Amino acid sequence: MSKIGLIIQREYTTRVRKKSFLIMTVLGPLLFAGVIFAPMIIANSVSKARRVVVVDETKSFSGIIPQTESTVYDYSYSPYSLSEVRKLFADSTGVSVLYIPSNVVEANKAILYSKTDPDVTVVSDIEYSLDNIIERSKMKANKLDSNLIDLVKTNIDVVNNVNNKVTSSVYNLVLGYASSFLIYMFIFMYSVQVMRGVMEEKINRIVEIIISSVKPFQLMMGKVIGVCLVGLTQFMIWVVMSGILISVGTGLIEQQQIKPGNARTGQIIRQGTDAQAKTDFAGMKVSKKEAISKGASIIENLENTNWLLVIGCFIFYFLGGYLLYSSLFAAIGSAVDQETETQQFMLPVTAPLILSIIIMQNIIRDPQSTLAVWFSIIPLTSPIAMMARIPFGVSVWQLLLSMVLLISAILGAVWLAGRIYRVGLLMYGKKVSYKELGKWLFYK
Amino acid sequence: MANIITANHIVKRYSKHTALNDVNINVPEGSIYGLLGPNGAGKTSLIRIINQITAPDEGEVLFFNEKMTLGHTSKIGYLPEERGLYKKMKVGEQALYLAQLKGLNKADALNKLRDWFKKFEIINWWDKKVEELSKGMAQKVQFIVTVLHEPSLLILDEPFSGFDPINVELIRNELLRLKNTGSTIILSTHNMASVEELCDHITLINHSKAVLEGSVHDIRQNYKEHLWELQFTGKEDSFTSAIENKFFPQQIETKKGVHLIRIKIPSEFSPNDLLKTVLPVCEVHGFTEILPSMSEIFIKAVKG
Repeated sequence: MSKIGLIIQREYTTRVRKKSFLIMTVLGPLLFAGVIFAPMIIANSVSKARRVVVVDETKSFSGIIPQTESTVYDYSYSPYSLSEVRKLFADSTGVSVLYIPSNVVEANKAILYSKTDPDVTVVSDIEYSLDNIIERSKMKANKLDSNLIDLVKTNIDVVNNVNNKVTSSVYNLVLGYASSFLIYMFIFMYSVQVMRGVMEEKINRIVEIIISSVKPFQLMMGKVIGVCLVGLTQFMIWVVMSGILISVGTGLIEQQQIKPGNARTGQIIRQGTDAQAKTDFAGMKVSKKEAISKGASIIENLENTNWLLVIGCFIFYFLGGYLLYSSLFAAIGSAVDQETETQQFMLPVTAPLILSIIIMQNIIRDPQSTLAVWFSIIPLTSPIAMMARIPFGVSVWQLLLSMVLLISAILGAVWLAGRIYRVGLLMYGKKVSYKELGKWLFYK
Repeated sequence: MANIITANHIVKRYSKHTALNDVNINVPEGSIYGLLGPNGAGKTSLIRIINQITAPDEGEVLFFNEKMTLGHTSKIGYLPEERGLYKKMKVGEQALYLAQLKGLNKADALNKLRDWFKKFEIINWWDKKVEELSKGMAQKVQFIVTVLHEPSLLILDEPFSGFDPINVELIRNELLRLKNTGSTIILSTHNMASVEELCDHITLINHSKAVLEGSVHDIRQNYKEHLWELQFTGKEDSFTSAIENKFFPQQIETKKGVHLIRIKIPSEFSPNDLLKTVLPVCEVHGFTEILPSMSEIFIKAVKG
């Protein structure tokens, strides 16, 4: 095996065998799946329905507020005054008192008294139900046929056709954001590992033994590539495991949802888009229709995305960004003796990375803005900025310019890092300044 | 005999100082070559240049009269002064890795490592992590890795530091054995006793320059002060009056009736003249020349 191959192998095997690698590899997808499922599970696991005692001063809501999974209405106390009822249930934790004042229609206000905080869904369910009832009664008062309202209710879907392809900007946004963020995470996690590895060799003083057998440059590149392979391995495992977990998870949740019937599905959607649901008169019907049309548009989007371009660019910027930053981090690791000294050099290197993540909001909002275009062309920010723009479509010249610049920046960074690295490795006990680093470049 | 290493007019500059200023050395094949000098004189810089870890600003290094290339690194074994190992790696695995980096194939390296580990009685450390080893143990592993690929040139920077006397003896014997099997050894050390004992040739570097070069024998001869030690019995008074005005006695001590005196012989006289002068007044028990120790020569050369 070639020497650089040996180095790659060592870097790879020692890292993959570490306990921390195993833990991260297993925990990563669990965390990921957790982030996705936690809200769904929380939304699903509705605790026992809350008993809501209605004190209705208008006397017009009696018996007509629809029960939901989270609320059960009790009208038996209507003859009593609010203060009496409140006193009665002052110590009941599972009971809330809904006070509907006589001026509810004018004031747009009702009050829910509880000993303990009710579930959020309880409040939103009550609001939703009262809204509906009052809206309909207003319609009747104004001689509007409620069937007419259902008829009038419209839900136009604007199909976003860009360059003869149907796209949804929300979908592009998610795709762009997710892929950029993955690149950002990967660069950060594994470049720091490269830096730590370099420092370990320097501080352990094994480095001089090694570079009497191989060139410092080989050692550096071996480490960069080895760590990259570790990252890719972990990444692949994550993708596969997350896929399995998510499909199993959604399968389980769907099964659960089928049992209590459609009402529940409607409810979940309503909770997710509470504000939107409020404006819907027909409630569930619309929600369902919307859900179906949304699902269809995602599938359409999936089909219409130029996957070859997206995946190709993702791999290019993923590896390119990593190579650029990890070689710079390797140089930092070689120049210092202690972890604390890394700070002064890390800041300028990580600044463009962090900046591009901050700017990403703006890039995604307006992918063709001057800011977005420049950030996606300048090499230090392009891996993240360009990836955020790709799903929205990028002109060929911008993409090519960005790629060519990134490749030249990588070559430059690797050269620069190599020069600093070979001198830095053997420098001990000195606090290094930028001026000093500059001189190292020209050592023979 | 051919020179395994010839370094011609080596100059190495750093931003603030010159580490090596026109240094020449010739290392004869099969010798043990001492590289001496105070701390910061430039020894490590020179060693790193010979190892091709850094390049000289001027001058060249030849390996058997051939310009050094990276291919030569497999013929050199280098034990740096500042040496360490990967702490979290297992000893055997690590030794195997370092041996493979030197160009040995895996099977070969394993066989040789086993032999050496047995010889140094550390075979049961094979699966231990380096962080569990004592410093001396780690030094043994490093030494093994340095010599494992049977390099024709060994460069050892302070090889005895960190060893107890038993292990110093072990390493010293290994060095002599390696020399007998034809290896050349460049030894950088502050331990002057081992220089006298082991080295055939030395170069002394001071203030970035080679200030003294040659065989240990010649150098000691050159630095000798014609000092002799004479053991005799008889009257001290008559002895001193006999040599008066001709020879210069330096110190005298008496042990169990035998007088021991150091005398400097001026250039116009020979040791025989001294003997002739004292024979009539005493009985001579011993007469030897006192050569300066390498330590004395070192101090003299460095302090001027």
